[in-house]
Amino acid sequence: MACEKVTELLPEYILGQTSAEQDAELRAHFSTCAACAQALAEFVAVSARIAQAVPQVAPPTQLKAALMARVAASGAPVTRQDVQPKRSLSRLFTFARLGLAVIIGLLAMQSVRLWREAQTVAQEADRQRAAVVDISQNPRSVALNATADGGKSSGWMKFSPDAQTGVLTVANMPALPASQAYQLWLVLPDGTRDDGGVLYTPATDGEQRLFVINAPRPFGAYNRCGFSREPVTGSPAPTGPGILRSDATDWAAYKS
Amino acid sequence: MPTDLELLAAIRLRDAEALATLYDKYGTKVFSLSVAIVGEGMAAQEATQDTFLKVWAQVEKYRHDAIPFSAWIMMIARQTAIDRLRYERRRTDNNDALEGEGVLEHRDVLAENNARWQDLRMVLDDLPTDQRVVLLLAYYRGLSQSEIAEHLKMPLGTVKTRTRAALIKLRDMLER
Ligand SMILES: [Zn+2]
Repeated sequence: MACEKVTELLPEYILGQTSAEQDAELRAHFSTCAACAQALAEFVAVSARIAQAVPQVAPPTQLKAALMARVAASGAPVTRQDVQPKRSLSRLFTFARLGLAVIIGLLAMQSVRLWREAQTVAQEADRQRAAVVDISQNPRSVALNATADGGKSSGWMKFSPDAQTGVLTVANMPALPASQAYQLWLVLPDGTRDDGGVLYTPATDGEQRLFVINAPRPFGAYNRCGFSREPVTGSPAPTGPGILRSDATDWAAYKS
Repeated sequence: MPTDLELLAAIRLRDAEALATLYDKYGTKVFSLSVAIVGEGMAAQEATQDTFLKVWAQVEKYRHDAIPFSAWIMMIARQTAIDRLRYERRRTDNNDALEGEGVLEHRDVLAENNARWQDLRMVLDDLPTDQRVVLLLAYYRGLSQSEIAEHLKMPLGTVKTRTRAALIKLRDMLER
């Protein structure tokens, strides 16, 4: 579709008056044409203002409770796309091998209420998933913080000190070219670094990822972890700058 | 108060508390738009719930580099309410509700004590009436251009021209 036609259709597109075929062509064009994408953004802003050009009425108070009940009843749908790591590594558990109930339990860790519900579900998981369930029975969370090179990135490592399987969530790591990756290191108190089995190349800033980590040793052996920037094939030991890392603490000492 | 992006990151991790916080932030805006489109009553409440459930279920579709979340959720809210309106219209086979200016009158009731809305109303009121009516029918009633042409008994080309003129005028006013 030519820019001229896109410009002509923009007002109809913003008002939802274009056909599905036109929508597809327009979206394809916006992804390749900066000028038209900018024009779109301007009309989106107009649309957002029209949306608020109505008297503001507070919803009835019970509406929030009704909504949250429906959210709970919706069973927290988790798609593979939600949680799939960028590439599969031999040491990385694939989510296909994990029961959905367990995944939900792990994903819900940051919400105490959901977490308690998930624990009940997790207890029903079979022994094959025992390593993962371990986390749910003795959970420990370590925060990862951005270094000066880490932009707005943040993350959490969740593990049980006795288990070798943990869950790592990261957010907002700065985008990398396809030739580079962030590599995870698990660090022992003596400074020895184990490869954490994660090579991650965010295509855009603001991505959110969840990785299941299968560590070479029980998590209690380590006292910190972190990402460095490496060639996309990974390095035997860190060579690039640190991006996102935890402070050193005793990971074996579990505090409830 | 967490940012929208932080809340969305937590929602991606299926954190229901984050959705509750997002509701605290956008619930009134979504509900108000729903009321403007489907009227007061259960339909507006259900459209509001459906909007937040869509955010919950479709959070992966949101691209923060494309549009601000505040605009995205209002687009979902509008589409949800309009789908609901179309459904009700089919069910009751009632086309009497196609009043463009009615929306404006309805809004005026609460306009007095809402400074933000005053500002926005002035924006819309700056449009010539013929452009405003076309825009209101399209935006708040979800009518296609040919439906508007039929309803207002004017040529399709005129509807196109006026829609376009209205949006461009609003865009230019917002930029100033
Ligand atoms: Zn273009």
